[in-house]
Amino acid sequence: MGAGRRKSVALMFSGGVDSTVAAIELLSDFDQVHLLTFRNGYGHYGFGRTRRRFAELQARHPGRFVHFEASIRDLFERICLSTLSEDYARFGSAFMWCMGCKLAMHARSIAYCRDNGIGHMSDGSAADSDEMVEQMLLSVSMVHWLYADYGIEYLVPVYGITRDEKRKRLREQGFFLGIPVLDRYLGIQPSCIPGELYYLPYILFNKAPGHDEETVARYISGKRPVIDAYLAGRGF
Amino acid sequence: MAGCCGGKNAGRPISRRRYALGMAFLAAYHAAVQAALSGVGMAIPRFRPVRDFHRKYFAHLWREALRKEGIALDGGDCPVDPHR
Repeated sequence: MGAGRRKSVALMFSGGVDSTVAAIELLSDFDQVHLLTFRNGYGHYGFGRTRRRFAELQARHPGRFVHFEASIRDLFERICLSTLSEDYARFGSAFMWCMGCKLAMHARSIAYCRDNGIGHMSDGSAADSDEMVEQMLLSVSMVHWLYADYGIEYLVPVYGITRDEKRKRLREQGFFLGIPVLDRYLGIQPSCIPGELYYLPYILFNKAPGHDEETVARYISGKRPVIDAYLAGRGF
Repeated sequence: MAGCCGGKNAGRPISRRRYALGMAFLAAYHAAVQAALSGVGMAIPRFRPVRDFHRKYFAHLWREALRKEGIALDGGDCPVDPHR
């Protein structure tokens, strides 16, 4: 391994275009990439697709990837579902389902990194998907500070790479790209029924999703004590 | 949110045909989910709050879609959602 290379990084991994390209990008700076996949237990299915993608990566780069899969149901219930009705009445939008789920994934990722002595965490957030609440620059920035508070550096290796470029790279390397439908590729990553319902008006009608930066910032800040309590309970 | 025209496609006009088909798909998908949640909610209590939340969410969403809030039809101006 070359000088200046770092040992390990963790990556939130679905097997979709963004996280697969992120996994490959991280190989140039890290010896080993831990791929983390989480299930929230509520209409979240199709995890065999993620395992197939992991197998594709493993075949191309033997020994460089580790795959970890876990349920975050309890944590998702604590962060999101326990206050679902109140939050919906307060914010007038259902974005908190997706944001709450992602916060639960981040909290669990912090625990994984701390358990395994990993100092770098990453995901496939991308600027050209910023209509998605968890990929807005504001959300990415707030998550960056969350990791920093636990001594972990948060990286977004494909944030500035366009979707077309990412697809091109995967196609060139012979990865399975799924079935193209309306600017999306189906069958390469898990599906989430509530997430699909939230973004359906955007997909069907080009209607902007119902969240703004101020609301999302308030939601994330409001959930921070729940995340801290969970991590304190794990001894961090 | 970057106004009603923020995001990659948000605010772009759609045809009346796409709107009609979209409404049919929206209603069918949500009806199927509501039916599934009603069934699952009877057997598994933890799904009941989700079922109730979905019912409220769909009612709100359907009203917005019927009023065409934030939806631009046939190349008209992008309507600004008064609630945003």
